[in-house]
Formats: sequence, C-alpha cells, structure tokens
Amino acid sequence: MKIKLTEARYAYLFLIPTFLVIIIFAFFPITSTFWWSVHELKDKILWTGMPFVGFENYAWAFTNSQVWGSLGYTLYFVALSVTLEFWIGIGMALAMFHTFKLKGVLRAIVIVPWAVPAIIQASMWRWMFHPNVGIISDILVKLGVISAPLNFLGASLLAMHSVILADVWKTSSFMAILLFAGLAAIPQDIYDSAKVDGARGWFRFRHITLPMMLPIILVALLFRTMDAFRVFDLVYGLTGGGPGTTTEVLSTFSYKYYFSYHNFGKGSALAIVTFLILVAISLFYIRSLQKRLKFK
Amino acid sequence: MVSLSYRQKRLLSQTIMYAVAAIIMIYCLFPIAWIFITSIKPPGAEFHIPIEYIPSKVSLDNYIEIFVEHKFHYYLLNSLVVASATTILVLAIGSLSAYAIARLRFKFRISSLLTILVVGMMPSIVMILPIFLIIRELGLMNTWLGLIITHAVFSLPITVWLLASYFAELPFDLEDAAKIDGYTPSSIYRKIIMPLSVPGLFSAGILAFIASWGEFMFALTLTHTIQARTALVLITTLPGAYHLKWGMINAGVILTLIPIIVIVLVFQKWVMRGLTAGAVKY
Repeated sequence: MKIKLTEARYAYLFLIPTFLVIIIFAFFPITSTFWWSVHELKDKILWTGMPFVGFENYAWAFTNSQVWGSLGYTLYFVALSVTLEFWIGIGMALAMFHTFKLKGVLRAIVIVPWAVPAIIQASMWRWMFHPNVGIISDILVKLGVISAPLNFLGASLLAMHSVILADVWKTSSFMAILLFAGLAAIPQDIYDSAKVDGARGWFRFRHITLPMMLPIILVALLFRTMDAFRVFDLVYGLTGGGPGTTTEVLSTFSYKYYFSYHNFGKGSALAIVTFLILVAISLFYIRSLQKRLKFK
Repeated sequence: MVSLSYRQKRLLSQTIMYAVAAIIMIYCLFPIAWIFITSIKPPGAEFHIPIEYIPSKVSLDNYIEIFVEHKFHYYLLNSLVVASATTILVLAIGSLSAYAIARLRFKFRISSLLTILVVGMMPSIVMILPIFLIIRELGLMNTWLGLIITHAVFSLPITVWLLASYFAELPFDLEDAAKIDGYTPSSIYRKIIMPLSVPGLFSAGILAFIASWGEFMFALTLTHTIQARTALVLITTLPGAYHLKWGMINAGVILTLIPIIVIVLVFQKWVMRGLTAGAVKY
C-alpha cells in the first residue's frame, strides 16, 4: 500500500530528526536545569532527596557578592570586548577594502584568528602573558613602557583586561570579515556621486558608509553580544576565573558550582540566569533577522 | 601646508597602504608565529632569559615528546573522527529540515526555523549538566558517539539556517517541472536540490567541522581518556609536575591549529560565504 503524503506532511516528516535532537538535547536539558534550579541539590545525589526550595537559589544568587561580581564582570567583558572588536574590526575591514593590491592576502590573513578555537586561543595568550617569560611583558620592557615583567593574569584589574584583550584578538577578526562583506555590498555609484559632491574621508564614512552598513552592523553587534555573554572557554583556559573570582563570568562560575562544588541547585540557578539574559538578547536578534527574512 | 605633487601623493598613499597591511598582518599572525617559534625551541629553552626571539637552536623534540609520551596522534584522530562525523550528521538531518523550511508549504515554516535558530543562541552551560547525565545514562560517556551527538546539537541551527537560505535561492522552475512529472518532495530533495547545493553544503559543512574541532566544554566534560578525548582538551589538561611544559603544549597547539588553518585558507571563499550568509544576507 502506498500512502500519498501531502506537501505539509512531507515537511513535518523532514523536520522530525532535527526536532528530535533539539527536544532531547536542548529543550529537555533546559527544562531540567530550570527544575533543578528550584531545588536544593548537592553532592552526588542527583535524583534522591532534593527538597523543593522555590526561588531560594535565585535569592541566594542575587544576594551573593561573588555572583554580583561575576555578573558585573560578564557585563563589563561584553561591553568592552564588543566595543573594541567593533572598532578594530571596522578598521581592518576598511583597510582590506581599500588596499587594492593586497586585498586577497589580507583577506586570507584576517580570517586566521577567527579560525583559532577559543580554548587554544586561551592557551596561546596564557603563554604570551607568562609572568616570567611572557613575550608581551618582554616587548613592553624593551619599549620602555614598563620597567619589569608584569604578571598580567595575577592581579585582578590587569587580569580582567588581559582576558578582554585576548578575546578581542579573535573576535575582531570575525567582525572584520562580516563588516568587509557589508562594505562590499554598498553600491559603488553612491560613492561616485558623493565624490562629485566633494564628500571625502571621515565625512564620507560618517554619512554614507556607516548609515549604509547600519543593518549589518546591528546584526553583527547583536550576534557578538550574544556570543560574548556565553563566553566560557577563554576564561576557563586563561585565568580559570582568577585571581580569586575577579575574572569569573557567569558560565565559568556555574560550571564551578556544578563540577567543583557539586552544588547543582545553585549552579543551575546561575545557568538559568545566563539563559534568561540570552533569551532576551536573542529576541532582539530574531526580530532584526525576521524583518529581512527571505522566506515569505 | 606643504602641497604634494601627484607622484608624491601616490607614493604616500602607497606607503600608508603597505604600513596598514603590515600592521594587520602582525596583529593577526604574531600570536601564532610566537607559539610556533616557542614550539621549535629545545624542551626547556622556552624558559631561558633573555627570551630568544629567533631560536639559536631549532629542535623538534617538543613535537616528538607529545607524540611519544602522550600519544597525541590518538587525540588528533578523536578530534578528526568526531568533527567529520558531526559534519556528516548535521548535513544529513539539517539539509532535510532546511529543504522543508525553504521549499515546502506548511503552516509552521517560519516558527520552526526560528525555534531551531533560538536553540543555537542558547549557552552551553544551561544544558551541560542534563546532557552529561543523559549521555551517562545512555552509556555513551567517553565515546565518540556521545560527543558527536552533542556537537550536532550545537551545529544544527547554523547548518539549517545556512542551507535554508541557500535552498531558497535556487530557481523554482526545475522543481515545478519535476512536480508535474510526479516527483515527490523526497525525490526532489534527493535528485534536484541536493545535487544543485554542493557549494552550500560545502560551506555549511566546513563551519560545522571547525565548530566541532574547536568545541571545548562538552569535550572536556564528556570524555576522559585517550579513547575519546579530543586534541585540544588534552592540550589544556596536560599535567605539569612543577611547571607546565610550555614547549610541548605549544607544539600541541600548532598541531591542532594546522588542520583548521589549512581548511580555512584553502576553502576561504566558502568559509567567508558561510560566515557572511548567516549575518549579512537572508
């Protein structure tokens, strides 16, 4: 017997595998994490003896100074990192766009940092920030900027910014690629007519390039903001959240609550806080995408 | 103000161009170059002061050590198998869904696309503990398969997104003709869409491969031994009795980076297309 399926039925059939994976490995886990976040759940007993505590774990989170510290650092990390990578990224994109002869070479080079996995990037920068034989200290000493090697990852304020610096190296490359594509999509005749009107340099950038690229810039910034909020690998590998808990971001902090302190209830509450922040940003992102969606 | 002749102006702009290009090159490549230089110093020489910018003695001992002492080739193999299998898996199931979303008429098209997309935006940390338990319950702890499934979850959304936008751009004429000939959606998918979409599949596949090769949180949590642990997890968990063997770690970093840098450079066009298709065009 052959069953004739309608187009819609075929569509649902084709969506089954993807949704199966997503339901089992995303929806179910997120629900469980939420469920655990309203229970007290410690040590190795995950399924037995977990009293319901309502929003106690959240109350703890919002009164704990270390949690506030990590939330604060996460926000600072996101704000500074995204700002820096945007300006460096747009600088590189413009340079790639205007250095006619070297366009191909530059394009190939700019893409390289993006391809470096975040945890590898962490290892690379940890070596370059080494307290005794770190090359960054060495260069700064040779240039006379500092008199003795600095322990970049050893002092709170310095470590907080070193992590951001390491992050910007990789992410500015991603920004440059996206913004370069945006630049290339601006019709040339707009520039030509602007030239006739005598617009040049900063004026041209400020009044033609930037407005033309605004939609792409918005998407790129939202995407990167989202990604920066999820940061884990870089911090885990570079400082492990230290010194103390000064460079702890939300993800590394809840990972610690899970796998070091075995306090799954509190860890889950922290994870859900991260999740909610991302849901909020993703709504903005989806809306900006939806406006320009091609599938009608 | 000094007025410059045309030739001087040209010379000046050329000089600036090369200077800017040089700065970008140093910015992007210096960290990798320094890691490479460290890795080819004899073991222990990486700690010598003053720091040698150009090694006085070149040695491959760090590389030999990581292969002989830690059997690094097995970890590279784990990375390769996991990333390749993840790529094939997400292309297979992702292209089916992308085809449905881009080409078939049904009620929940946009909402199912957006649902898939939102999943890709969620932080790993909110899923790590339950997935850890699921994988353990399934008996997939410390196996390739356990890691492949989890990596697939994170690459599926972007794959579906990229492929759906690729499929949407294919002309509808062929499909209409095929429909008249009585082709079902599944044969259209197999015989028309897939063969026409090789570049799109390639683009999405490369991104999935790179993502899986570089994934850390799950690889760290779900694998423990040489059986399944990936290369970059080994590098970051290398034990150091008194201090870390940075020469060897950096050798491992270079070995882990080579495959993806080669892929990115060789398939630059596809990588760029994939990256920008997700954000710039829809």
